[in-house]
Amino acid sequence: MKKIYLFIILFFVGWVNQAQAGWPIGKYRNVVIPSFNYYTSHDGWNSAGQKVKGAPGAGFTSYAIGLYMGYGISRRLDLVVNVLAPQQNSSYRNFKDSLIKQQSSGIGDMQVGLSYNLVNFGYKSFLSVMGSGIVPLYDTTKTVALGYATYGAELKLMYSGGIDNGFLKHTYYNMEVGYRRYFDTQGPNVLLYTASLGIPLGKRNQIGFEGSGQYSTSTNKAFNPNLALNKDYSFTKASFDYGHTFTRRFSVFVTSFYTLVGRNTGLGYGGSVQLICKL
Amino acid sequence: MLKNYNKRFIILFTLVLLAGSYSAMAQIVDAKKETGAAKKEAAAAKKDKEEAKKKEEANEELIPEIDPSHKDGLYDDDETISYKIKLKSTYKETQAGKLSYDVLTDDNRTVLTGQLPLNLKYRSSDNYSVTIPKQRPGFYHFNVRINTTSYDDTVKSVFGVSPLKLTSTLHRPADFDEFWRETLAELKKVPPDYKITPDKEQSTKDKKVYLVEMRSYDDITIRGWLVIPTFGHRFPVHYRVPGYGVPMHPNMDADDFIAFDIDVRGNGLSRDQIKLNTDIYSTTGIEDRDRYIYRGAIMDCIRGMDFLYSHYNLGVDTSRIYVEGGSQGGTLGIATAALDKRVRVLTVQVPLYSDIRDTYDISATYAEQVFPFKMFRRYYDTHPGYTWANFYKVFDYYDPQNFAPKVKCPVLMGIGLLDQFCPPRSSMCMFNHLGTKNKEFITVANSTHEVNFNYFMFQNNWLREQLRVP
Repeated sequence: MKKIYLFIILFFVGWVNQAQAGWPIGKYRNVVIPSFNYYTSHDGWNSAGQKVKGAPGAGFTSYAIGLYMGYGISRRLDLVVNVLAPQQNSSYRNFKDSLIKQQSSGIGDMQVGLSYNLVNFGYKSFLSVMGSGIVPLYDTTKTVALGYATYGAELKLMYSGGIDNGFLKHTYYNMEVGYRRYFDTQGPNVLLYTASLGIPLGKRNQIGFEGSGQYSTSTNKAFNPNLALNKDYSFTKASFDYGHTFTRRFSVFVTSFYTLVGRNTGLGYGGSVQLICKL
Repeated sequence: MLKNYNKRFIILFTLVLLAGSYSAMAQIVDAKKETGAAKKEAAAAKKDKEEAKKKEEANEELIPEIDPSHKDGLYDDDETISYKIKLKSTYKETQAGKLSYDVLTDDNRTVLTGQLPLNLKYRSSDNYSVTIPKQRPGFYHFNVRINTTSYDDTVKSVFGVSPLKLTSTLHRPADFDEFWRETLAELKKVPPDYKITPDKEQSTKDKKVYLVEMRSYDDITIRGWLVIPTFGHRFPVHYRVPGYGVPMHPNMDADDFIAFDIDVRGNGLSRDQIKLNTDIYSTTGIEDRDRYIYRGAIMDCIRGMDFLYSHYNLGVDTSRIYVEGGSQGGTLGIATAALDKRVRVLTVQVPLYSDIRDTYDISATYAEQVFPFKMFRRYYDTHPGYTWANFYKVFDYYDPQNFAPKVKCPVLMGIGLLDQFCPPRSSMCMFNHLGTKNKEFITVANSTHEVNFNYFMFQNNWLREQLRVP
């Protein structure tokens, strides 16, 4: 079976948002997070969720530059903009068993939204909702493997807080669940979920653990060698991150992740470096 | 090559997981070692709990919970006010009786009374609701008396109605501004002669602590504590002025602010020349406008600003100095912000002496006198010929309400609705005279002369918003 392992931008779109999670940014404050993201896969999961070994030489690698910007419009309302620009390199074996290589690059989808803090539970935890639109920043009339080439919208609930007793004292948590819909007759409809725990190590370092994933459904259940165009898929991945604060306004986070289970998607791993700039 | 990367990553990932597992396993092993002792402890704790429960049952009581429908205890003058009352009885004997309530103004005028029958069985609870009709702007006392077979108690609450609509007359002497201009000019003539001494004992790897000494108004020596974080280069300043008789200590709380806590004359470490106990501090020099203790105390706070402004080299961000004070510190903070435009932001909690004439009127209704009018009345009682007119003639130069219109920086105020030292009506009247439009206040419904955790969390966010710091 021919397979093209393409980077799924959606994999990373949620990540940089996690720098803020459910906490409001704060009125007049802003945050800018440039990031560099890397992903690679060789094997994958088929539509039945079974592991499939990749053909010799076949695989996928992606490098993406991301930019996240958040601005506190009011004490509860934040404006959020997120853009990724990937370079994707893929190779697959055709019916003649020839190795075909492809590369595509450019600015991908932009996500623009508003995040609103619904409830502040005595400054110990926060429940927020975020609504956003997804806008393809590439020419959707051409066949480009940078996204679904269609507009979309997302609604997400976020619950974040700190734990102040027990053996998890001084840690913080973030949980998110969201629904994304692409405005094509075939959708897809995507359910997103995240659960993470951050553990401070002293005053300037922290580590974090996260489990996250997506469950995407569509009337189009056909398997396409171009995985980015597959609309019916799912995956769950595990991440580990380490962060260091250099100054009050500048921190760096390094993240690594691995896909644990999936369906119609790549079995890969990757990482990112995020520069958190509080201006 | 991809395979190799995959392998390496999997190995790395596995190592991370194993590291976590090893740590978890070590904890399990340790836990097992302690199981025997833990079991004994658990058994002892269970026994203690059972005995405590027996004791609780022996300590029969009636537990009231009285909550306003608005958590902050504030209502508009076009809405009704409501309270939920929950009573739980641990008396074995059924408690029959009544719940009666009064609503009174700050001047002790009764606005409403009511009564409800009570009949509470053992370990039962009942809920009641009291609705109070719309009231005019002001603060009101909601007193609930519970009288049953074995229990008698009165629970007091206060609610406020449209406090921003409260008004008061400013009794500002015609030469108020001139008096304080002259006072500032006299302060300028005193060379500060700053001395900054590192305190190695109290310093940590994250914070450097210094004892600061300087000369102030009337050539009095005053001192304060300066704490500078070691992580960073330039910092906004948290300048704290003292409460009544409260000695200051190094403030080690914030990692991203320089903290400066000053002892004004006669306070804490500033008692070289002025040694007064708290019984007489507030009446020292009270018969002479020029010699009243607070003239110098306010100038001490200004001298503290001079110190911060002249020590940019220590990492002080002179454009971001925020002043904080509680109680007497609230008064000093308001006066400082009024007289010194270098104050960027001001936060005050339960500001003492606000609208002093109104505080006098309200305190006159108390069954028992409390601070500050306990001191002022004692002075009046023990000084024949001294009149309240004499008192106001001096105090009108020191009433924070008269400084308030000159405060132009952002202000956050916190007050406790049950406060008898600083009645909320007096504080709000002062607040309504503040010259800045950027002002907010927070009420704590069940607090007396203090605010609570939620206030300080709000203050922290509010400060960062005002100072534009992350």
